Amino acid sequence: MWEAIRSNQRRSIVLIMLMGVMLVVLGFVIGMTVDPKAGGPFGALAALALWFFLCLIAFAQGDSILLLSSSAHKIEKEDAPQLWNVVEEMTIASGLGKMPSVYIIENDVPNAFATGRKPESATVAVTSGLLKHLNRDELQGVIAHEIGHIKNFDIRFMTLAAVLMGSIILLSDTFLRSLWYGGAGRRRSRSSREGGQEQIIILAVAILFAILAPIMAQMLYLACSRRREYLADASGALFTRYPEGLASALEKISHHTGSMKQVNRALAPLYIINPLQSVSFAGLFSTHPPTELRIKILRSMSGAGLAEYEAAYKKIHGEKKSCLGARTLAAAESVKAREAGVERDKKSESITRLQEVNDLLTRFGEFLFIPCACGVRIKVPSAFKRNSIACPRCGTTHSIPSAGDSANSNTPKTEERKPFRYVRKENGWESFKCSCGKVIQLSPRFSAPSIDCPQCRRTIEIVNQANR
Amino acid sequence: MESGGAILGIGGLMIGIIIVAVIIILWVIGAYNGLIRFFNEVKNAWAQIDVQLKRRHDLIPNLVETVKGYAGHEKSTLEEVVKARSQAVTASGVQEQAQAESMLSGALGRLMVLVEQYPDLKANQNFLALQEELASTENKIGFARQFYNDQVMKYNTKIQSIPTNIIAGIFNFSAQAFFELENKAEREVPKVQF
Amino acid sequence: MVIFELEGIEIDHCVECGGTWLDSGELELIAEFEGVEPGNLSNALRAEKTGIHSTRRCPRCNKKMDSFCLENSIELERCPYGHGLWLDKGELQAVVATFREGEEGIVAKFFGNLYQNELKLKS
Repeated sequence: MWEAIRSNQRRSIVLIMLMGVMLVVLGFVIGMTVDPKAGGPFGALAALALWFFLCLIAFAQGDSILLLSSSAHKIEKEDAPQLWNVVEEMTIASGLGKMPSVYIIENDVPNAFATGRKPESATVAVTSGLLKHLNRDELQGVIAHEIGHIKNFDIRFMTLAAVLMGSIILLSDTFLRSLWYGGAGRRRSRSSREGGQEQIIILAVAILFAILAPIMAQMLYLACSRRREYLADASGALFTRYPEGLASALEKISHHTGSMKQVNRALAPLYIINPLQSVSFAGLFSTHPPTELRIKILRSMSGAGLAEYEAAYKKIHGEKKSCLGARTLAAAESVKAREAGVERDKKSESITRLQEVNDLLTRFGEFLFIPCACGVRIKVPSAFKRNSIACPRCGTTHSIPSAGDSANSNTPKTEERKPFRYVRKENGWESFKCSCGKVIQLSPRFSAPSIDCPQCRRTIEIVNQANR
Repeated sequence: MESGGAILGIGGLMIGIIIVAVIIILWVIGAYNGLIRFFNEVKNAWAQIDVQLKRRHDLIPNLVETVKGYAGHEKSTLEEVVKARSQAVTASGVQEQAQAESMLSGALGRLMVLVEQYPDLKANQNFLALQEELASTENKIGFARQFYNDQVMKYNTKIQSIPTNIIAGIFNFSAQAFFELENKAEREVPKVQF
Repeated sequence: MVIFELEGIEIDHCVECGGTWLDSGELELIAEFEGVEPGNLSNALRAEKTGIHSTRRCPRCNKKMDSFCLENSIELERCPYGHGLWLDKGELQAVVATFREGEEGIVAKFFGNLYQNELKLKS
């Protein structure tokens, strides 16, 4: 393992240096267009300063950059127990010293990424779409992949490279934009009077470079990230001992790539302001090797160890090229994969999962929950002005607690869970209606002090007459 | 002339011996520290298992109470779980602990099969939360065990291979036991997903 | 906008105008729960846009939405960036009334189920 990580690091240093050179040249050329004499070195210095500044922000704040985007929420265990547990499990499996902090990003495209300065203070972020679409095993696979990145020291280098790439994009974009809006036009007309053709050539070179540099930077970034993806996939399989989980997660995620392009375009403004976040966000699965290939490798693994991953990789590629490095494999043992867990009733499980995620998101948005008797749940924003709302399904009118009460709209749960009591008449089969309208049946064997309504989730106290 | 050469020769020999001795001492220190590092990693990994096992022990009384509320008459299975838990709590040493824990896993598995017959219980939010907690703890034990065994494997390989085995022999580093649950008790557990 | 949730599927509903907003993906979920491959459904929605820019804006990104025709009869609006689908009050009724079969039928059935009371009032 260590050998592969080291070799990745060496490659990364070369990559970062190449990108740095590119940035400096870009700055130099742009500087030349402004002022042919002193502009070049000044532009190069400015480009370096920009990079330095962005790096400073990226490293000093780590998490807070994520926080800048309003749709990211840091969560605690109570918010999403399953996600939290899965991250904790993978932290243990990988032997990582400290559990990374966990963020949920409100976005329906299933995706995830890891960031941070060092493995001890890393962050894992997943989108709400990921939580909605993946089951536990698949979620575990994705988290294991991300923890693999953290464990393999990928995040620091990738953050650095992403920031560098971001600076290049930012610089060339600003330059091209300034040309567009005529600022450079004035300069050109003035300088053409003095400088003549030379200046036009410099300008043409600068434009060409400004167009090409971002593409080249992205290609360099890609070249380096691929190997890391394979290694993270391999570690993901090793940590979970279950390659199928990650494979099936990748499959589901790739189904959604159609809509992902649209989201990327929508995120484009962010891309410029906040290179770190948007680059790693957009880049997570697109800078990766072809997803079908990764799925194929994972699926044809005969076990869950690094050696099996290497063997599967070679089989798929039909070549001798190693993806992990020989010395890593010397220490790799062959590891058995575990068997799949038994999936319970799929539909009801995915519905509950969906409800949980939706509830979590609406809780972030401070919504008020109104369960209707017919099964519809109405969620009203705290800024809602009317004082009543009719259920579209059964027509029942629900009154909405007025603004005075909305002070506690932060805790809609207490609103829901007013004490409710049912006194049992005898010990046979009995049914009664919850105040939300759901009919609840009690079996003769039932003897618990309370029951939770499956519809509105309020707790109903059951009083047994025989006990009184 | 001759005596001068001899002095020079003895001096050179001395310097040579000193250099070799220093190299050997440095190597011994390095190897010893390396072994200590591996040993500590094994200990850390074991501590992680311990944390998770304790967590499971803490969850069980809660679980038993909740199940009792709905299926109180299933005494034998519940008692089995309680008994297995108290055995696991008092167990000491890797081997004994592993055995007690696999007994407990078996008892819990049987309890979970039983629970399937009580829809009331399965609908209880409290129980559902407990179930996820327990399932996750079960997973964490599994993953911690996996990590522990990997570390033990590395450590054991290290102290058995030449030349570190000399240092291991001098300073009494002994091979550590694997934490295996794969014995009879676990195989009896019916396949259930918590 | 309030949210109506039925069986895990969330629909945004504007109380002022009676229109309905479907986030992208929700449509696929409805189909998924009924065991239908959602691919065809979203293809049907990729019908050529009519070119008329709607006056409404996407509630997610605030861009003007595109109008397009479903089965040459019902005009719906969608976000040009794929954030979702907008159905006016009347359009919803038309969808429920028109489609009975196939994937569209399933979606229509869901809407019919959710808006049971409102649709009854109108007819």
